[in-house]
Amino acid sequence: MKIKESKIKKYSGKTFNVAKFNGISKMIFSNGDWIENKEYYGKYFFGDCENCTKINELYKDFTFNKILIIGLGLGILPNYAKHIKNCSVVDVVDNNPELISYIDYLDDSINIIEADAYTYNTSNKYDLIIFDLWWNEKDITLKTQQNLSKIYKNFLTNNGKIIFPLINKSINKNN
Amino acid sequence: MPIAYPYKFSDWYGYDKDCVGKIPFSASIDNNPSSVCSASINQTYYHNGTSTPGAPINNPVVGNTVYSDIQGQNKLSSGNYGILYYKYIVVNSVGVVTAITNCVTLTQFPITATNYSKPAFSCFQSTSSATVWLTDSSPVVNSTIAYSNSTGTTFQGVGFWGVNVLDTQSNYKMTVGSNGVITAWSAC
Repeated sequence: MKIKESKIKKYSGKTFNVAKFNGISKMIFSNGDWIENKEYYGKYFFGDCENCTKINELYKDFTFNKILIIGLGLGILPNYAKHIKNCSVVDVVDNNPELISYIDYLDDSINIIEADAYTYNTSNKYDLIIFDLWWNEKDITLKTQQNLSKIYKNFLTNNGKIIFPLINKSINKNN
Repeated sequence: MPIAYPYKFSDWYGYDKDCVGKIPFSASIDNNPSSVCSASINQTYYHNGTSTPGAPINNPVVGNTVYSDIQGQNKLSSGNYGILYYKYIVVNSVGVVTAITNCVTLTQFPITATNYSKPAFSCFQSTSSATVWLTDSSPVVNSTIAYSNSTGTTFQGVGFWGVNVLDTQSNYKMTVGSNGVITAWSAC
């Protein structure tokens, strides 16, 4: 599921722009990284894509209801979690106030928190924590995974898991 | 010789206000066709074509005149000269490039029609409408060059692409950097 195109406004800002190409919104950050409003984004990150066996495996026999998403982007993932996965709690952490201000079209029940992913702290517990902070797989170093896992394991329910979808990796609370 | 103020007419002897600088490119020394593709690319020559802004390498194209000096006073002698990107140029008796030939046989693969924002998204996508041509049948990172045409004259665009290697959809992730260089290649 993608965001309804009519909800996404064209925008030109300090840290990103949003433009329409052939009717499809594309968010382009100042460093050149980009996201487009397409179906595959949510399907891949939640293991609903066809034939993508590695990410499918991460979600096998795993159910979740409360989710924390690290990285907002166009809001495709929280939108997917809310409307396709029917999560009762969808929280999102992002450190870009301009982006948070721009994304005004998501369901009111989705809670967007302005915070740095590397220092964020909460007393809430989640079944699933998804990281969507990077564009290139090589940027997700083992050290980065370890540092983030150490923090975010504290926010997991007993059977919860952390998923790094770009590198097809999951970490359970107890490993 | 330093020029002192006030300027004298003689200070301007030899000055050509219309002189256009030549474009440097890397090449081998003249070689016969059987050895030109394995020759070391260790010379700097010049051509009278255009440069690509920001491009570190400016190979000549057919029709350019090539020189051994930046002033363009000495044309290269006729023969075959290896150039970067696994090619060689054929130069005629008046220093003009008459052909550019690939040293390797390009291998073609079906590729996704568009690039993707992240490598993972390029996997398991349709590859029914586009083709990429590579300088290696088994790509080597930071060595293999990707072209978007069979003659190897247009580099594949920068970004993350899905490539179909003997499958029905994209089953390899390919990252293309500037000048068509493959900077990452891995199975989905």
